[in-house]
Amino acid sequence: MEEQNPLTGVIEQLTKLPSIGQKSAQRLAFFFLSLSKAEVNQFAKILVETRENIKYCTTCFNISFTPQCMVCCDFERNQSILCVVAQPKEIFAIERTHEFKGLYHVLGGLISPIDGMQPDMLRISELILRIKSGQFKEVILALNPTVEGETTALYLASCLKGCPISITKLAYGLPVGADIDYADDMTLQKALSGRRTFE
Amino acid sequence: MVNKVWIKGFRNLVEQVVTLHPRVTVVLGPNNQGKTNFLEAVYFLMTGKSPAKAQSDMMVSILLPKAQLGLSVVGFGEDKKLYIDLLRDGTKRIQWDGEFVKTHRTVMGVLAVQYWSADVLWLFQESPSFRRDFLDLFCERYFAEFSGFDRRYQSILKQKNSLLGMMSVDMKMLELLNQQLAQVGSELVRFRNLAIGMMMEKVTPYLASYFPNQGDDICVEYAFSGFLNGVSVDEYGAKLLQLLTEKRSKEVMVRQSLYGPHRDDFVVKVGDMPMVGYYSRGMTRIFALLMTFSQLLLLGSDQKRVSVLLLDDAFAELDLAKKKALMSDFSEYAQVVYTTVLEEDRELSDDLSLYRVAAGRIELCG
Ligand SMILES: [Zn+2]
Repeated sequence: MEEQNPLTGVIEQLTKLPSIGQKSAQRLAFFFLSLSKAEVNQFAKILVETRENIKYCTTCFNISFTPQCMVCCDFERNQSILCVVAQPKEIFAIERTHEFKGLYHVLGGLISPIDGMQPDMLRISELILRIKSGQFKEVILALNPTVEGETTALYLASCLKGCPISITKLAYGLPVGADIDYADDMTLQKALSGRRTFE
Repeated sequence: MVNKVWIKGFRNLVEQVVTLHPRVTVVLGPNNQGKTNFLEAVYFLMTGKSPAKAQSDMMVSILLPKAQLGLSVVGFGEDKKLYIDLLRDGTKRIQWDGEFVKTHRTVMGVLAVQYWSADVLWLFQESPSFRRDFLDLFCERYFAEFSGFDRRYQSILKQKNSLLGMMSVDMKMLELLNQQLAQVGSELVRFRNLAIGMMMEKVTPYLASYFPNQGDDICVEYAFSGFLNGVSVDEYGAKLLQLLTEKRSKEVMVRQSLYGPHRDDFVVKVGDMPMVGYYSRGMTRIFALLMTFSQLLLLGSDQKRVSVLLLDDAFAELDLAKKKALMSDFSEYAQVVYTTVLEEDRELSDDLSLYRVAAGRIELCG
């Protein structure tokens, strides 16, 4: 009978993680064995609970345990300025800079015909509803300076034409094509503070 | 100048050191003895690429695990040496001036090279994409910003073609992509026209002697796709967007981007006539050679780089007087290495080194 490696199951799961190969997975598997049962239980419990309970904020579509996310619940924040991002991870990058104190809207992606992403698959109508409420004076389009980001920005700008708000976009000192969540905090801070009107 | 070239394990060439003449090196011999391989080795040393885009496993000798090449440059106060190891899987190890470097960037800051075979006539015969590549390769090397714009243009184009491939095309999306295409495209067109202007400025002084009485009538015209000819570079972006808007339904119907810099071309004209058909093959060949030479002047001697011109039987069909004239003009600014099957080419210059090649060995004569 063929003997089975007792760690095969764990290793198989771990290799599903980004940039984890066979070797690293094996190293991690042994690391889990070195932990106490309680620690491993805690690890697994938090992972499962987080996945079970995470939802999207019903207002901005940030990730949240409650119907309203932390940002939307915080009334200290500037309620008249809205920052539009593609994904929740970009909110985390922008929050790290402490440069922005307004609210967010997560589109859920960028327009990209190659990937089959069309405008109606993004949360654009929800965005327009929020803006039409008249709450906002400025909308910042914080989208990656790629073709997809630029196309989405142009699309949003054309949808928002005629709304009495100022539309701005990040002043990228970022190399064209760079990702917001890869930019270092300084670069992103500068991009935010130097934002300019979208033509 | 490039002084010595050392070769080991490269294609059929035996291990040897070849000393280049300061002006003209002629490598004479029958076909399939190693002439082209020698030029390829020199080009590979100077750029890290094969001029024929050959795979690296083809370039490494079947008898050895790796190819090793080296060259020495003199005339920089001190000598510099360049060594490259090339493995069959394409791995390269580059050593320049005693230090290991990752890419050829620093090397190409000091050395400039052009390679042309008898196919130089393709500049007139091949499809527009051949001419665009000829122009764009130069722009990439000459203008630092060009490749960024080019990559951007290609990604917009890919998105647009995907959109055009869809069952129902969102016209607003198409317009937004067209806007970006026109904007980035006009940058490409600006660089390409700048390049043509600079090349012609270099070619012009030579025209009178090679094209008596008609030198003044020769010009290179950038040919915009979609009948935009006559449009100035400054207004091109706006005109292209207008054209793309007008032709929307046509592009949707054929599901392809039909207009823009990726479909442009250039034409060499004598007066109102295309040069091909007006002149003999020999004369058009001379013009093609002058154009490639102009690129070497711009990338090489103008920037104080050591310039090497590798010509693989590129003077084919020309008479000896014309060949000698070209050789004298070229070797004034660049070290020329010329391969040939013709005995008469021993007389290409009064001052040259003559090598004979047989079975992968290149030997100095006289
Ligand atoms: Zn929220």
